[in-house]
Amino acid sequence: MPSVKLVDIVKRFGTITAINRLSMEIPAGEYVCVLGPTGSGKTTLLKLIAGLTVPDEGEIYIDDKSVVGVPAEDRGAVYVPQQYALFPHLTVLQNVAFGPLSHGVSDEEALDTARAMLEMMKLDHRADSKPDELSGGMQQRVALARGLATKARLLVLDEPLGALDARLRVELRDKLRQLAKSSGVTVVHVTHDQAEATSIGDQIIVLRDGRIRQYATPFHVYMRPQSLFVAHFVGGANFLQAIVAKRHPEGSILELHGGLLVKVQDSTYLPGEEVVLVIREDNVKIVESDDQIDSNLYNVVEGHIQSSRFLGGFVSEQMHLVNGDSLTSKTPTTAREKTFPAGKQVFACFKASDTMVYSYPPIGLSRELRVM
Amino acid sequence: MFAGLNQLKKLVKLSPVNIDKTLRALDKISTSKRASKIVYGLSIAFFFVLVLLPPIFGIVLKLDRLEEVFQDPVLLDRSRSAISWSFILAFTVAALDILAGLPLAWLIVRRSLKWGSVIDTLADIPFIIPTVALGLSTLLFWGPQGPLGILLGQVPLSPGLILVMLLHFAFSLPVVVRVMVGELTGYRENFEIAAKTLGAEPFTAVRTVTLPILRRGLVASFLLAFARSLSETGATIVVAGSFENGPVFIKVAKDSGLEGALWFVSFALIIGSITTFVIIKYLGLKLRLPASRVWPRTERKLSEQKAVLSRDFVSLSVLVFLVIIPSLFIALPSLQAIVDGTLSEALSGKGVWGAYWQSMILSYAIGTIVTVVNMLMGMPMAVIIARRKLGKVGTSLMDTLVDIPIVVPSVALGVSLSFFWRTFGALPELLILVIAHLTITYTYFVRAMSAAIESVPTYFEETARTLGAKPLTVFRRIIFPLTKYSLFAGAILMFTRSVDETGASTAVTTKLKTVPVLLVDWIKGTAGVSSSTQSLGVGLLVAVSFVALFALRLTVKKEK
Repeated sequence: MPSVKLVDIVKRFGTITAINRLSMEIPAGEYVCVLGPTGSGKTTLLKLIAGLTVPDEGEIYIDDKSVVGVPAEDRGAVYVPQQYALFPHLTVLQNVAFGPLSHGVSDEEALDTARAMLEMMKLDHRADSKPDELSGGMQQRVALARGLATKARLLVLDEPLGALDARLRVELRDKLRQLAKSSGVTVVHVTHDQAEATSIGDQIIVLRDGRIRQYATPFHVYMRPQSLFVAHFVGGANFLQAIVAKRHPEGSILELHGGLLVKVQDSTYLPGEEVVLVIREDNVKIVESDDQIDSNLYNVVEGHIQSSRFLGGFVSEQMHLVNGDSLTSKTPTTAREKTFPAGKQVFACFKASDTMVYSYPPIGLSRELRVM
Repeated sequence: MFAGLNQLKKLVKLSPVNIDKTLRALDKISTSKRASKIVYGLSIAFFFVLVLLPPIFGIVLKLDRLEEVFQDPVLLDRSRSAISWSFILAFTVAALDILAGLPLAWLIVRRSLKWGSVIDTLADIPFIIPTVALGLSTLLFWGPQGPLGILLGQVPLSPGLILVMLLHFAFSLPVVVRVMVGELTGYRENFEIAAKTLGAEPFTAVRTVTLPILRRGLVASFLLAFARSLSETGATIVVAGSFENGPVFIKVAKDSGLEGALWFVSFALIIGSITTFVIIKYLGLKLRLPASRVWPRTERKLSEQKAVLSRDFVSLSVLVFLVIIPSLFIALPSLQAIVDGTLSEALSGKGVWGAYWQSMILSYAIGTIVTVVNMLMGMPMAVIIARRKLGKVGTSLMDTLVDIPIVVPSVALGVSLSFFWRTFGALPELLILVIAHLTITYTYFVRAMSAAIESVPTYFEETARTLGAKPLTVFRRIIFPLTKYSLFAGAILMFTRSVDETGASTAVTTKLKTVPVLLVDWIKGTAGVSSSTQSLGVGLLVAVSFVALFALRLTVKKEK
């Protein structure tokens, strides 16, 4: 099982720098999701690893061997594009046998390997079909079978679930991980869907403008995002502009617009510093009256309901706070007896321990959060 | 697994081990950067040294002969008028082609008529008939022995400008129909539907939305029709009478040894055609179609059933009466020639027929050589263009240069390149003839192939590489199977174009005669053959062409 290592990689296309001094290491056998908005350099990163693009600077190692200059066909990193690229003129079996044949294996041996792979993917009954006769899910499995039949130990998948409809995508997510794990390959899986990345990856790499913004487990990325952008891109949250009013060892007091004061646990910033307060939507609770709320534990802010949407398992409510800020809350539907009508006076509550504080970005909040 | 390869194995009678070994060795070589550089380099060198530069250098080398023309005012006048007529004719014909071809393509693709595919096939007919046959057919159809002549008791159209125009219209209309049918088939109707739901009349929607979107295709088909008209020589000579455009004049000048005028007209045609091509190619796309104004009342009328039906009627009538019937008319006198005993004379190979069959063999031999050579040398160039191997600027430059051989009138091309090659001493006529045909047919193959390769998404190649396939294997097992129909189509196009070619062959040779050149001589009366012999000669050429095409089609079908 190969490990992958990139050191100081730079890749430019004309005036655009797609990958900007990127270094990272993927341990053998890991399932890593590369998550980033459109144009963040995800696909370029994949192609660099697979050998389909040559870096302008930097080194790439697979299994501690430098592979810059090694052509794609000798790297043993199988690339699966979003469209799967099943060769339309070949049958499913011929597609899967393509890799072994290209490696100079005899016809019979290649076909045997291909049949075994198809059996493993439970596709042996479709061996003689043409790719376009298969469903999207089957095509994906053929693409995987074809990759694994080369005895490749590294798969690089570009949006492998992107071509499927939403329901199937969720279903196949787990299967994909299972297959990869059971065959022991190292996987680099590119996606722009954060739910897909968090549910499938051992680790997540959040990419923006050709740089890694965070590389950690999904849990860690969600709970301790390294930047406002990561907090926004993975999980989503409320972002409120504030100034540090007071600081003591157990936390700080922030002043929001209109002089509204809230308690936070963070104590890294000095009084007077401009900061951004981040609260995950599911950490905001909305109640009708503040009687039952322990105000020592919770920040309680008054406001009224602006809109409310029912999202199946969740209810999402947007509040207009007294100071003019907006706040969104996401509550499990089962925890609610009713939804609130627009205009209703309510209280938003959130714990000091559920907040995160970041220094105000020099490029401005909206540009920092921009995902395009 | 490798159907094509197995056939090859049998053909070469190599042991399978050897061919596998050879392939593996080639595969290994194909990985090296140097090997691919050599292949692409050779292809580019071939293009410049054999295809593009000789005609240009030929003209430049002869620049000093130009002044001969300026010393003879009468000759200068004639030359000038021939050159202008060439361009006027090509412009008019191409414009008429668009006017008639667009509604026809529309009718084939969008009116979903039961016999749409029949019309589609009909429209191709003039494409597969050699132009010299079209020329004689047109001449006879509109002549005293044609149906109109007999009906009216007088000659409806004698040789001259109008007849030339009708002829050019007939052989260039299929080009426009073919390109526009392709464009319309690939066009996604959503835009038009959106325009209609926004309140546009059908006619308005097409004029303001569909046509501007398809303007690339319109410009391309205009250019193709334009180039065809500018280039055609053999058939034009047959129906020209005393009318002279560039190619006709060059033939006359060559026959009567007016070298200065020959160079002058060739020079003007080459420069003029390249300039026009570049201007239309780049300005044509910037040309604003009148898409912002709308005339609701007129356009509603034009969208009505009645208007649509009469449009269909007119475009179909134009196709049938001005293109199909005059093109097929040659069949009648040919059949007559079979009955009246000319056929047995032809088969015996006596008299003029000996030369005829020799020419036939010559034409087909050249066609075969040219097809094979251009396929081999043009393929890397097609890859270069389709996969942008020379970067943005280099590739688009190559993309433009590759078109030049079909833009330049072939007769001028022939004049120029035969001079160029003869500066190297007495090269065999056959060799120069082959080179001229290579130049003229090159573009057809490279264009067809590069379009086909471009339509194969790069991710197939990329995936195949990461699965362990070397570049040669990727080409052999992915690109080739996915593009082989275009490959055959390109080959057929090239082959028929070569067999059909009159202009360059006339310009290059003195002794050797390809079939169309020989037939032009027969028809123009310089060889003193009977009209029955002429008809049968043309008829046999058509028949052989059909058989060849059909055979090729069958092999393609079998491959499928």
